[in-house]
Amino acid sequence: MKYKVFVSFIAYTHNGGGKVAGFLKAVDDYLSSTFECHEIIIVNDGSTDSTASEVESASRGLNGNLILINLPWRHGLEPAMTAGLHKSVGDFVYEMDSIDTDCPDDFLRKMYETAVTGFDIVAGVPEAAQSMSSRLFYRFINRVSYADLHMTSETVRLASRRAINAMLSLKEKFRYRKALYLLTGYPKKNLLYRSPSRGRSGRPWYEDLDLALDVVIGYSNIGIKAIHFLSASLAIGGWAIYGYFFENVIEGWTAIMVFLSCVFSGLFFILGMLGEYILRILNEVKGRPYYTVSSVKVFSETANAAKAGRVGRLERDSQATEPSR
Amino acid sequence: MRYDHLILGAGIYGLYAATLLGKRGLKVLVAEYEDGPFRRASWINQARVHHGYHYPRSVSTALRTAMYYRRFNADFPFAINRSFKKIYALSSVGSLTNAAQFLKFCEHVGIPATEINASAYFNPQYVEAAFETEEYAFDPFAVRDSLMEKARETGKVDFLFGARLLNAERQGGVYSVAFGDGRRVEAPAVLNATYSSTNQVLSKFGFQPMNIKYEICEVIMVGVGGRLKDAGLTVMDGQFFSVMPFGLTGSHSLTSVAFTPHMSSYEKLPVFMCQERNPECTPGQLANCNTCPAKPSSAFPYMNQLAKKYLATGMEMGYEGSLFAIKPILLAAELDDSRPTIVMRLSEEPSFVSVLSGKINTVYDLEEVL
Repeated sequence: MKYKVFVSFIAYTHNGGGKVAGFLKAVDDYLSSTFECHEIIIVNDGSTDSTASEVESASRGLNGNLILINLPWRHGLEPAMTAGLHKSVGDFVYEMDSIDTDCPDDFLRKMYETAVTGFDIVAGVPEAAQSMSSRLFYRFINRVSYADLHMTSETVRLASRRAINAMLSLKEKFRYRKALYLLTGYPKKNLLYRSPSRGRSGRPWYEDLDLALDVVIGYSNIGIKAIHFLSASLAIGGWAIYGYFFENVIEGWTAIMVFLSCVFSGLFFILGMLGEYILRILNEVKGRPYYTVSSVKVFSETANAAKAGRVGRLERDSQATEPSR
Repeated sequence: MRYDHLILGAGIYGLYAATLLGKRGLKVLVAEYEDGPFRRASWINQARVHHGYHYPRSVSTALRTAMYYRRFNADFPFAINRSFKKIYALSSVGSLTNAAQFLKFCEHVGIPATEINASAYFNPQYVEAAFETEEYAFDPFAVRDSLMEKARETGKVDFLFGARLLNAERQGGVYSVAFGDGRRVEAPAVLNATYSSTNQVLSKFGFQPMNIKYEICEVIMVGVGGRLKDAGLTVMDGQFFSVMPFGLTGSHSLTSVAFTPHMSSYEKLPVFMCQERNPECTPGQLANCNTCPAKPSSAFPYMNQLAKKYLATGMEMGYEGSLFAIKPILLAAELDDSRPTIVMRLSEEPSFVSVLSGKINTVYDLEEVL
């Protein structure tokens, strides 16, 4: 039996050309066997390979609409997924942050079944596949954040329309959906699944580090606190080192140098932290759009079916489709 | 048989031209593929009497449209539905024009727009601003009946329905046109007013086809209640939607830029996969999508879902039926979104004129050339 609900499925890809066709087929099979109506949205984040044309040829035979959003240059995961969310029309929306995610159909179905029991946001968490660095990061951010985040690695998420609307209407320029959804206050549940492969973000380490820094600054006051702490401790440290050398070194040259280097490193750290905060203020003030779209292509259900040689009336009789509200 | 003027296509352009020429005392034949007038695009559209609001990125199109708007309303007062509020809203994400630009544009073209509280009709999260405007809907059946009446009154207009155009050749100062029933018509002047079949007719007459993209489009009829009953809503400027009264029928039409087109063809003569299922329909001669056994299933679930996202709660619509027709779009128009009426005189003696327009109320463009 199919659930009488319209579901959108958004997936992010950057240079995922070779894998797009298999991914689309699998997702479409799952969606069309589970829900009465669906659309798939692929956000092509400035790919330099053949992703766009692969998506077009993979649209053949799909059982629902396929929408391809092309971004003109690489925006990164969060702005790109925001573009997909703005486009989506589903009552429930799956967000998959990478087309490499190998999450079984049964689990995706379980996510929906969990959602309708009263959870607006259901996240899929790969079991025991977290890398050391991400485990450390989440322990750190959950500890230092002023919000009650309970964040962990999520590879796929299902959100209700009202949760998406609430999340999208949060005005913050720095989009980190995982935390933004939590800020909406709608009930959330994390579900574990066994991932055959080790979950990887697919991003190079420096981008992960950048994202981690953004999250720490966006959702905690740790930076400001660290500045106060560091200014104090460096002063004490400088004094201690000076004292250590006071007895032996007559010239005092070493001591002064150590003292100066400590103080300056502290100062530079403070300036760096302040700079990060000022950068965020600047970004908020500039008010740039989250993303820029170069083109949106809709591959309609009818055209997809026709390309696969199925023309004419499909099984789903439009007369029988009641408006669901 | 000999006529002074042969008109191909009994849509609004064909019938308007027939009355115009008939009044001048010319003997006119209107040849139509279908069994009656107004069976395709003249019927299957949004039934909007365009006032120009649709073209914030093409002021020339808007100005021309606004000019004809009053004239059309004056010529067909009995066919105009004025009894609803026409609201234009600008989407807050993905719109190619913002509220300030839209207002400035309206001011420039000289069409009224007053900002209203968007949350009366829309989910304010997705709508930047909403404007009450002045725009009406026409009833295609009333326009059809009036034009047929006027054409008959002239006493000079004959109709050939169910016509199958076979071929055409020049014989001195006339075109000799052969139809499927063995009939041969000679006329010193021909008007091609066939809209989606423009290129097929052009090629049968030996002219260069135009650069056209074809789309199989669906206009959905919906039943509405509450506040939506007395309103026509259009969300701009991009892949959004419109729901507005369909003439005087009591139904609303629902269309959207993203979901109304089901399939596209970029060939000069339209090639669609569904033609395999209907031997009547070929690149050389399009059959009627609306009665086609291979017509697409409705995109109502998608459009309804899109509308649901944008509309305030309590604005439900119920599916009543779908109308399908092929829409030709000039490829040059995709960049600036202009919708010029193309009137081409391709031959002087004998005369051959071809017209292609995407709007009903620019029918007056014909006067310049006939």
